[in-house]
Amino acid sequence: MKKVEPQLRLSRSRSSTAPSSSSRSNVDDDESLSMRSLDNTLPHPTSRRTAAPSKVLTRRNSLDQQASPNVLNRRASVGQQSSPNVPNRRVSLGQQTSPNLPNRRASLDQQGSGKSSTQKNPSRRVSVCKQSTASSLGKQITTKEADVVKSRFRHVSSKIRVDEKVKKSATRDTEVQAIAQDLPLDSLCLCLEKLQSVYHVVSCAQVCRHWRAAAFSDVIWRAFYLRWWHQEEDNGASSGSSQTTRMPSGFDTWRDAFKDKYTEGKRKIRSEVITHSVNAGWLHVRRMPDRRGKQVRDCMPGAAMRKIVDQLGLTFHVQINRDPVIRLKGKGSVVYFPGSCLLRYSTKTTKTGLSLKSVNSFKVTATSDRLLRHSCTIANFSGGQFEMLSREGHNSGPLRLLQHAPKHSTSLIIGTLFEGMHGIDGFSIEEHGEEQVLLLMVSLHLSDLIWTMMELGDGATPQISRRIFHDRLDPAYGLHNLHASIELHTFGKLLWKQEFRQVYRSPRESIPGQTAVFLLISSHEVFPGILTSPWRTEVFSGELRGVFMLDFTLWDPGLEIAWHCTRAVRTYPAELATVEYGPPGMDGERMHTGVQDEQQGVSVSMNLCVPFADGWGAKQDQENSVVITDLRFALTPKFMISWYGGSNL
Amino acid sequence: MHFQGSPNMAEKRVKLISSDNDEFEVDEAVAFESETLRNMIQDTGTNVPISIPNVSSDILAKVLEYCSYHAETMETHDDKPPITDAQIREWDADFVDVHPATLYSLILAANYLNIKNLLDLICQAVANNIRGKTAVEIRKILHIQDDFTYEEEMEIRRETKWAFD
Repeated sequence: MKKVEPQLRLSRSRSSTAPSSSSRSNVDDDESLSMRSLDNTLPHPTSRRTAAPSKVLTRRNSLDQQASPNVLNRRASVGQQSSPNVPNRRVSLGQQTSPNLPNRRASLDQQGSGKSSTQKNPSRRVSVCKQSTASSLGKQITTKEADVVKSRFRHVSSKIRVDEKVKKSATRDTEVQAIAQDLPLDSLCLCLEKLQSVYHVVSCAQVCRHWRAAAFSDVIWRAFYLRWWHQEEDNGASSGSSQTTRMPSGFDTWRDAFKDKYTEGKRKIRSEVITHSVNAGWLHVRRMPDRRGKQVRDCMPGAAMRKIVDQLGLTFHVQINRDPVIRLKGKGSVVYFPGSCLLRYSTKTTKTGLSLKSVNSFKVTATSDRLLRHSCTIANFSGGQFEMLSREGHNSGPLRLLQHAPKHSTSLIIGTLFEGMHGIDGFSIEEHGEEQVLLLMVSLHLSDLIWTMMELGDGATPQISRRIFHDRLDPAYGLHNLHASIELHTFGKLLWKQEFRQVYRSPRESIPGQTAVFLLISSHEVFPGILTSPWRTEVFSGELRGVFMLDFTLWDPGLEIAWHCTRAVRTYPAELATVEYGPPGMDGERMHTGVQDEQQGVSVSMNLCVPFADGWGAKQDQENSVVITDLRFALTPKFMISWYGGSNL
Repeated sequence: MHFQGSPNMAEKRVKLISSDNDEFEVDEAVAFESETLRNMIQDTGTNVPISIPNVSSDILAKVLEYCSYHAETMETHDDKPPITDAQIREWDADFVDVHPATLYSLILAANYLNIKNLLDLICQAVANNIRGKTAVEIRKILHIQDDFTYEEEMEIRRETKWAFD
């Protein structure tokens, strides 16, 4: 039996007709194996097939006479066209003899049907083979056969693709044009109807006359109108009900009717998006007990923010000074993280020497496809103090990183060409204004984005409402059941993220009347990776050591975001006094980093340790990793007063 | 009379002839994905080859690839786990990842053969292709000539201003 198998395989792969003949009908499977192997050498399947075309032709002719008139016409015309083509085609394919023609046809059969018939029912064939011969061999053969068929399938299709390429390489582009312009109006309408946003349809109208006709056709606007205003009725019923919907009176076209309700529709869609987010559990509705029924909606902890932003379908535009507005597109220009998004602006202007001094304003606008091109200014930087991030003595190459953050939840990060100037930690624009800008990045907190885009911010008078909560129900309200989420990332990659639910104040660390400290990590938490941020411009690339982005979001007990930040931070060598020592025996470089928001009275600080590879207690799994030995945030009375309306520290 | 997926269905084969005179033979269930072919087959039976005069071989092959895959997903096998929706979606996404010229020819074919799901799929792919692009960008990727006069263009601007507010 073992000897038979390779022979079989060889003969199978060589023969072109055998797989198709066996796949064609299941009766063939009942043949014994020896018969099947003989199959290829016997001429009968080939001869059987050479007879086929004539039979087909005669059959078609005979049927044409019986068939219904319209079918008849079409058939007849095809017959006229096609029959003279047959010899031509044969020559062009280089198949001079007629027995080859069935081969080609058989191979095409494979393409169309081989997949379905051979791969679809392997089970059946296996069982049949089991009956006839040894089961294991049978199984092997069927899989072999399937492989051969598969490879042939691929072969044929690739061949066709090559043919296609050869045929079309010269005329490809003109052909696209011809097709895109000559696409029947109804098909084009079908495509345009699939567009979600009115705005997209409208911009299609400006492409060419043919497309304008499609984009202005009533079919599309009727569909849009119904989608917007009759969704509720249509949901349960079939399309029959929408068929009968009449055009609203007073309008000539559906487009006019739609236009008339457009502004109202925009509002409606926004509330729909909000309702959807609430139903999906991404937005949290907090009703304030102040009798006026006002509600505050805010993002839930977890992946909610990211999901809302995804559904909004945002595009970003940036504008430097008074230059034309530029859309951010391309890979890596917008990077989303669970809590923030980083916009990277890379243009040729960085090549031609945009100096730090000449960046007077930097404006970012976001536009949401889902909210019908609703666009808002998300961030607007104009002048201000820069904070230097990269450190003297660190190998940061030609890049110096500066940060300008008017709010803690939006920051503009500028990388400048560092040309060996005296690196003092303080930085003044007067002194270094001529520095050439290499990188421009903006980090935005997603909750800011959501609030602005969805206009959630007009809900309530939070302080008053929260004070009611605070006074009546719980004397220590606001000092427990907080939620926090923190993430560290580079300019393109998430390094570490963690969520903390129901955080309590730590009485030991807190100072009554001054700070309430919340310990998030007090032992150690290992995360793999090193705190370096690779960067790349058109000219240079390199990495910044000890510089990374830190996002922090703090939810109050009512699940409202009380404080959030996204900033670039750098590590400082830890002073001994502030270091919380890690587990005994751990030996490594200790660093300290954090964010302090004095305006709102919140600070986050963390202590890190990079274990020495050969240090005390070094473990294999801690190589190339960072250990967080301490992570805490602190609230001051300032925060308590501004958020809750009173301090109970 | 015809039941999809019944065991004797596999015996029934349908011959299709493309505009280049290539012959394709497929299962009846595969052909039944197309509403047009279904009607034809029910009129004339499976013995007669059906010619599809306005679809070329390469496009027909592609269409049949789609049909056979989707006919296959309809069937249930005891020994194989059923194909999940996610898998189908992935396959579909792969399927439409072709040159725009092919995509547009496929629309015509799907329209003629009346395969609703395929038409939906391709239209969605085309829509995804042009979504979020300005008119100039669309013209560029599809190599369309701008045949508007200046006045016409201004008129369209005026006409569509409401959407940009």
